[in-house]
Amino acid sequence: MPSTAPLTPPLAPGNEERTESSPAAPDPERTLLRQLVDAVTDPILFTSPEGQLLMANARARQLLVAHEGASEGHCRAVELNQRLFHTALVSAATGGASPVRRRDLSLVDPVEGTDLLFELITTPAREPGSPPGQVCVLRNVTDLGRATRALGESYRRLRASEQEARSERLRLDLILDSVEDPIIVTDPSGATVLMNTPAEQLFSATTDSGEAILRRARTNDAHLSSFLSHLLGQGGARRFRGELQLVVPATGAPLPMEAVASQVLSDQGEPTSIVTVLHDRTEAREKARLLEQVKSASSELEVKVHTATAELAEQNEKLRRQALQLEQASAAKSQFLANMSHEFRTPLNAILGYTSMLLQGVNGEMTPQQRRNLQRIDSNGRHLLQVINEILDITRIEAGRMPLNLSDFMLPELIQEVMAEMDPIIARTKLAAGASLAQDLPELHSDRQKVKQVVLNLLSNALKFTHEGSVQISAVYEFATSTVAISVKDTGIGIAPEDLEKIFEDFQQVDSSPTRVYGGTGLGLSICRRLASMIGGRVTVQSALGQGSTFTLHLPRRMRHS
Amino acid sequence: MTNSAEVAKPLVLVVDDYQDAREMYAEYLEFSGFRVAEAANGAEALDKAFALLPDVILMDLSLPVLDGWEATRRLKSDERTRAIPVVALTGHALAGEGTGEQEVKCDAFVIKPCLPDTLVAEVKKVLAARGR
Repeated sequence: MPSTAPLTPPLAPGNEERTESSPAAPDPERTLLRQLVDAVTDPILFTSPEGQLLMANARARQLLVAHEGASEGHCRAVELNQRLFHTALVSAATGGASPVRRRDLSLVDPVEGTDLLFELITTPAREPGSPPGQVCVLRNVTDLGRATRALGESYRRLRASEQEARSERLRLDLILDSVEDPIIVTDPSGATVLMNTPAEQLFSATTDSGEAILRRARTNDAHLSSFLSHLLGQGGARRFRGELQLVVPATGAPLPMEAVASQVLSDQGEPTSIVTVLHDRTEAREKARLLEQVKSASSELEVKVHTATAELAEQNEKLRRQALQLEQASAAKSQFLANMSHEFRTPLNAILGYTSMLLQGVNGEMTPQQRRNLQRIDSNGRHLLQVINEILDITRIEAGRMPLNLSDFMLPELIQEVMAEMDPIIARTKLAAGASLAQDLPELHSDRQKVKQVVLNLLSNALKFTHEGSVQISAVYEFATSTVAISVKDTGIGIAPEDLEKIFEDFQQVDSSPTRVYGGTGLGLSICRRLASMIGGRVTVQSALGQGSTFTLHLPRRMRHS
Repeated sequence: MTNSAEVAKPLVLVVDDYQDAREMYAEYLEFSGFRVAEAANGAEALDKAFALLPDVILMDLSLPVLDGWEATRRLKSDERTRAIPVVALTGHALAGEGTGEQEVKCDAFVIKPCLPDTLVAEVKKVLAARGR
C-alpha cells in the first residue's frame, strides 16, 4: 500500500524550484525539453513509484500546486486536487495486467472553480538510466464527458419518444379500430397508409377469401379511389363529402355510405395525408324511409281528420239548424195548440151552455128520452172540455208559460178542498173514501195550486179505476229528507209492472185502444209528473195487477226558487 | 105594476162578438129574470153603455173594432159609467191573464167555457156586492 500523503512536501514551490534547479548546469537540451513539456496543455507529471511528485509541467502545476500568496479558496482547491489525484493514482496502481493504466479523474480548476474531467494515463518509466517512477498524463476529457452525457441523454429521450410514439400509435390503432365507422388514411397520392378494422372488412380481402368477396372488395376500393380523386392533385378540395354505393363484401348486400374526406396538412401547408371516414347510411335511410311513411300516414290522417272535422262541422250546422227549426216548430205548436184550444172552447161553450139550459128546462120540459140524450151530449161535451184543458196545461208547461206561485199553506185544508171538490163523484160510487193525515204536518212553502191539481188528479184516477173497496188519502212528513209525501191508495185494478213507467207518458193508458173501457185523456199522470217536477218533487207509484195502486206525490217542505 | 116590475129588473149589457154565445147568455139571463141589452163589439158596447147605463156589463175581452180591455178602460174612466160593474169573460187561457186585469179594474173575471147558470150566479154576486 502506498503512503497516503507523500505528495505535499515535494510539490511545495520551494521544492519545485529546487527540483528544477537541482541540475547544476543549465543544459540547453533539458531547457528545450522543459519548454516542450510546459507547452502541452494537458497536465503531465512524473512521480516516484510511491506516488511522490517528481516533476510537473505548467498545466499540472496550475492544478496541483498552490502559489505563494494564493487565496484560501485556491489553496483548498489545490489540496482537494492533490488528494483526488493521489487516490486515482493508488487505484490505478492496483488493477489490471497492462502496464498502461487509465482512470477517470475529476479535478477542480482552482482559478475558474469549474469541474474538470481528466483521463489519467499512467505509464511506468522503464528507460534505463532514468529514475524509477511513472509518467502521468491527464487528458482533459471534460468536453468529451459532456458530449457523452448529452449523447446518452439524447439517446434516452429518443428511446422514450420512440416508446411514446409506439404506444401512441397503438392507442391510435385501438381507437381507430374501436370506431364502427370505417376510417381510411391515404398518402397524398392516394395510396392506403392505414385502415381500421371496419375499413379492412370493406376494402381488403385476401385471395383465399373467395372470388366473389375479392371482387366486391375491389369494387369498393375502386369506388373509394374514384371518390378520393376529388382531393388529389392540384386544386383538389381540402375537404370533400359524398355518397358511396358500396356493398358488404361477404354478402353483396348494398351498403350506402356517406363519406367525408379531409386533407391533413403539414405545418408548412403541404398535404401529408387524406383521412376518409365512412358512415353507414342504411339505418339513416331506413329512418328516413320510416319517417317518410309516418309523414305520409300523418298527412293522410290529417286529411281524414280534416274531412271528419268538416263533416262534423257540417253535421253540427245541420243539427243547429234542425234545433232551431225544432224550437220554432215547438213554439209554433204551442201557439197552434193555444189557438186551437181557444177555437175549441168557443163552440164548446155554446154546446155546453145550450145543453145546460135545455136540461134546466129553459125551453120547457122534455121527455125522459130527450133528457137522457141531452145528458149524454153534456157528459161528452165535458169530457171534450177536459181533454182540451189538459192539452192546454201541457202546452203551457212546455212553453214555460205556467209560472210558479209560491206561498205558505197548510196541507189539511188543501186536502179538505180536494175531497170537497170530488165529493159529487165520490157520492156516485160505492167506495169508502177518506183522508188520514199525520198530526205533525208542517206548513208548506210551495205552489198550492199545483199541489192541489196533482192530488185532485191522483184522486180522480183512483176513483175511476176502483170499482169496490176504498180510496184513501194520507200525508206524512219525512223529517230526514224534509219532504212531505201525499199518497192516494186505492183497491182498484192495479197496474202490471211492465206498465208502471208507460202510464206517465203522454196520451197513455194501460189500455190505449179505441175500445178502452176507461175514459180520460191519458194526459193526467203526465201532467202530474210535470207539475211535481216544477215544484221540485216527483210522483211515484206502487202497484200490482189486481192489488190496487198507491200513487205518491213527494215534495220538499220548502220549495226553493231556482 | 108590470111597469114597476120591469123597471125593478136589473139591466145586463151582454158584449160578445160570437152571436151564439151572446144570445145564449141573453136568453138565460132573461130566463133568470134580467133585462138584457146586447153589443157585438167594443165600440157598440160603449154606445149602448152610455145610452142605457146598464146595472152590470158582461164584457168578452177579445172583441173586434175595440177590444174588451180598451172598452172597459173607457167605461171606468167616464163619470157616467164608472160605477157600473164589469164582469170580464175570456176564452184565452194562454195570453193576457193577469196583465190587463191590473191595468183595468174589472169587478169579476170569468173564464170561458162558462155555463149560463154559473155566469148568472156571478152576475148576481156582483150585483149583491154593489147593493151592499
